[in-house]
Amino acid sequence: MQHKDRTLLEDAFYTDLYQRHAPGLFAYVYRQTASREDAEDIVLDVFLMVLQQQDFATFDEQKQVAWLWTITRHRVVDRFRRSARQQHIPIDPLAETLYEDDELSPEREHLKREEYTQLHRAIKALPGEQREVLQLRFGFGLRCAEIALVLDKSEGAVRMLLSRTIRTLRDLYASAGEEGQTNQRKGEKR
Amino acid sequence: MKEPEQHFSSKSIDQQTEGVFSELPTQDSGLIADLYQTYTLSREEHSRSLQRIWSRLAQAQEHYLPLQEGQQWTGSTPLSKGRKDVNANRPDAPVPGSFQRAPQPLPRGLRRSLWSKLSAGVAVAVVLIIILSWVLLTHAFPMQEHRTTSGASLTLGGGPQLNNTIVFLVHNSEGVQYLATISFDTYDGHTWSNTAVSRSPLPANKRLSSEGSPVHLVTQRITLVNPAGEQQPYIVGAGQIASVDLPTTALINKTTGSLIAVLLNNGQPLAAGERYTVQSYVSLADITELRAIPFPADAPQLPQNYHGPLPSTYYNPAILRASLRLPKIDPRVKELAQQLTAGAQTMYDKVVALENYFRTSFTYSTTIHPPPGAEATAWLLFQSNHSAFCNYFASAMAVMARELGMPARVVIGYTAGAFDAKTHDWVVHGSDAHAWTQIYFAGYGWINFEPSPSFSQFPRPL
Repeated sequence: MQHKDRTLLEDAFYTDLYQRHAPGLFAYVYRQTASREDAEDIVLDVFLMVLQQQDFATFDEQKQVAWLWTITRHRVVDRFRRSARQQHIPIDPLAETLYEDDELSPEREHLKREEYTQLHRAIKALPGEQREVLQLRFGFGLRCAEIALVLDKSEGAVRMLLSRTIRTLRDLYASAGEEGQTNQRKGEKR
Repeated sequence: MKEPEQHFSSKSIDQQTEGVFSELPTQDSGLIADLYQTYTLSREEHSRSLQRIWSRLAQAQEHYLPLQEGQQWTGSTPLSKGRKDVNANRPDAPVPGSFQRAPQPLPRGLRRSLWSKLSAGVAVAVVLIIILSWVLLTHAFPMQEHRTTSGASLTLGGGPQLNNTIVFLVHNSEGVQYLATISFDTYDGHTWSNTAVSRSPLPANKRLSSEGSPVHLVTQRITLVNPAGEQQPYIVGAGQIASVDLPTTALINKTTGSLIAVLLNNGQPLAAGERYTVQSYVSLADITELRAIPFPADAPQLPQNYHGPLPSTYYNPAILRASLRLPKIDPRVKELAQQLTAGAQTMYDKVVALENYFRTSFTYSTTIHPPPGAEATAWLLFQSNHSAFCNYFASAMAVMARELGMPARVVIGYTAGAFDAKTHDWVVHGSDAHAWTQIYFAGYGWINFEPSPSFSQFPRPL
């Protein structure tokens, strides 16, 4: 039997590729499908295709990223086409699907913890887009550049959105909880 | 309206939301820590999804690309190996956008404020868990009356009064399986209980994710036979419960996210003859793999602001906090634990040394006479004539493990029961109620150990 001679470096290449891109791709698919199982299946498919694409490692990084995201977006669209006959799935679930779906699951149970109720309320009061950017930043651990790919926005726009969100939250949080220190801030009050 | 940008210049917001707390005004660093905390379980859940995809990928990969022996992507524990290698090659290179985690440790003042918030929930939780499982709690360590674990069926009295009626029939998809009902993480010297428990509805067939890997799913069909008055409305399962075909309520440790137990939804016992099907995650960890896992204290520390993949030796700090705590214990307990394990090199071997100590140096007896108020571990080790029953062994092993810095907890439930060759069901009696010990191994999750003499050890692949 003939073994392919793969070096550790090549394996590290795939491990690294996965670690770099899987979180963002997964977040994107999960956001689109609102199903953890489907998202896992689709991301698996995408990386299987990478493995089959013999010359993938020779692409430059920009092309690798573009390739991954194009395939992933196609996969998501395919899934909607296939399932469209059976049931209606909102193709643009915006923030609600992800957020509300998550809230039913045990993983979000801790949000009900008393000491977070206040923060939870503040988050809930945010517009959908801002809630989503928080979820992607803190819930998926994505950086702005990746959030930009997930939301199909420019990186700059995401940074702006995130910093505005945190500022809004801070104000809501502070005014709701009357936590001291509010006055300690550098004094610019709007 | 012009928006002030001073606090978060756009260039640095990635860093600023990643835990460079010292550079932020106190209030903002608190907010960001709270945000991380708020999304902790969500983040862990996603990380587990990514691990599952990776495992499946590695399995599929075997078919695409046959590899030479000794190379990576072998399919057995692919994730940990893959991750280890990446870390070994590039220890300081953070991988952007990979398994991000909450910044740890937090600055001291901040940690204190988190703790004070957490402890606020504890009192509520204690009341909750006592209401939920008061029978189990109050009977886990009886002072005078002697009974084994699943208490509710057992009346008070001097001698052991094990209920010998059939509790349930179990059909296993494979093997001999213990039936776990609930785990306990908090010990006060007399009683094991849980703090900071939250309840969450678990719809029928909804799949929870596994705390460790590799695992496989074991399916069990449980038929209630004699639930009258004794049966807790707990779902039993061979390991960490993955799903139940009835609507249930999951009890989850708030600080660690660990599943503690699953309750029937209405809190009412099932009637005789009713049945449910439960799927559980059973660890596939083999001895070689477990031997490779270091003590939490020896696990490599991640550099601050580390954003790369979590190494397979990473211990969740919340689990360590919850599973290493001890009340004041006789110092001889720790000394003995150190002596017993001095010859063992790895954490796994030290656990086995403790397990074997109980298995070989004690006898199993339900007629015991601990003085009221005595701390159970010291009593068992130094005053008991080395004779007691499962609760004491399970507890003492967990306490000794904690003394040595190994995350440990106590689980109660039932042994596998007796196999009925005609029906191919396992017949579980009230007298099969049991308690045993679990040790947490980084990456592999909670692993079963059996300190009670005369009970079979958990089988583990070599």
